[in-house]
Amino acid sequence: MKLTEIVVCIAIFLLSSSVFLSSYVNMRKTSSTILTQAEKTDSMLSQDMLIRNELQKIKSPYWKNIESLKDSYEEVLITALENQKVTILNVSTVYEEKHNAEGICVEWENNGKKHLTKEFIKQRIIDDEK
Amino acid sequence: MMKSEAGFSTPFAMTIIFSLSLLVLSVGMMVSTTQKKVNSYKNVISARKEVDSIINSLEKDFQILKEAESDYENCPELTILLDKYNSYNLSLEDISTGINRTFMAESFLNDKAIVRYTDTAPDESFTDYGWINHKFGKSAVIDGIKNDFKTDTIFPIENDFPLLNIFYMNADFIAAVLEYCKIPESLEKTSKIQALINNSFDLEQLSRILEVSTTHKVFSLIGTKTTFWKAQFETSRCEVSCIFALIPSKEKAEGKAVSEYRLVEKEISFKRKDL
Repeated sequence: MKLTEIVVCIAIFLLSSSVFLSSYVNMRKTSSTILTQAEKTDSMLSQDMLIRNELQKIKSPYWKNIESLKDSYEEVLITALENQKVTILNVSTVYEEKHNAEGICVEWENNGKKHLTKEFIKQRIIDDEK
Repeated sequence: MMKSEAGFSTPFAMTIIFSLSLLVLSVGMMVSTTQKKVNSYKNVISARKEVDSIINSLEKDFQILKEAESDYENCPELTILLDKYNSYNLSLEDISTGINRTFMAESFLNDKAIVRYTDTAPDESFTDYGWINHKFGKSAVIDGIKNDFKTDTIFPIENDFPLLNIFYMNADFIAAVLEYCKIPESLEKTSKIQALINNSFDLEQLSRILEVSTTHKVFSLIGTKTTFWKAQFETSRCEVSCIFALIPSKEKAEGKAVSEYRLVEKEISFKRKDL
């Protein structure tokens, strides 16, 4: 083998290696960004669903004021979700005028971001509250 | 020499392509798994939206019952409603014709005739639904609810609409209520009512059978309308159970008129676990 052939071989090897390395690094970076975003979305959606499921489990009789049940909702949610990496920040009542519906609004934190989950449970019974 | 040179480049290129493919494949699989999960959440949300829109339209259609003088099996208004939602397998059940232990006064619950009836049929005699009639309500509970809502009037929770629909009462229950209200010959009158139960009749006819006026206290207990309906239906993805309450008219005399039907509870369960 001639010296020029060896030099060309080394040059091709170095060139292809550097192309491979840079594309590999670029791909790792992109894939890790995609995966992190996907994981964040997944965790946010699963926690939202978890909160909605827990809210569905709590019984709220039609003759009770949802406002007075707010604290018990908060307690039940905190206890049920304490091992689920969900930080409940605030629980309040919410009213939707169009369907005269009332429900619970949960403010929670996930990956440093605050989210709101609103679940309408029933229609308002006592008219004077409007 | 030529052969060894050709053999050097091929495995090298193959290794690069293979490792890159593995990397792309693993990333692709992880992304597709996450996408599947996101899609299942999307399905849940769209299933919930579909159910909510059916419940909203069911509530609108429920208002047809306002026009019905009496609610009984196969009455025209109920038939129209059931036919319209036939594709969702809608079923309707009266859940307020029974004894509500939370709301009824002790004097009613401890009455001999009522105790005799509840002892013979403990499973079917009680209910958790119904309004409080101001003539038969437990005052402690009424005060508690007033305190809870921080208001002096708790309409429609407390009203003077009849609590029980005679069309959904069995003979023993009718006899017990008539005896409690001191209606003479309660057993004979129960038989007369039972003979008519498959047809529509109104309060005037009932008062003639019972031989008392429509202002008698028995008509605060017995009426011809159901106050709480349980509606159950299913979609391709969910099973739904919801409760509609009759809201009596606040203005109209004797509280026998209906203002509207309102949704008070809903329970949605998904058929498939992955949803």
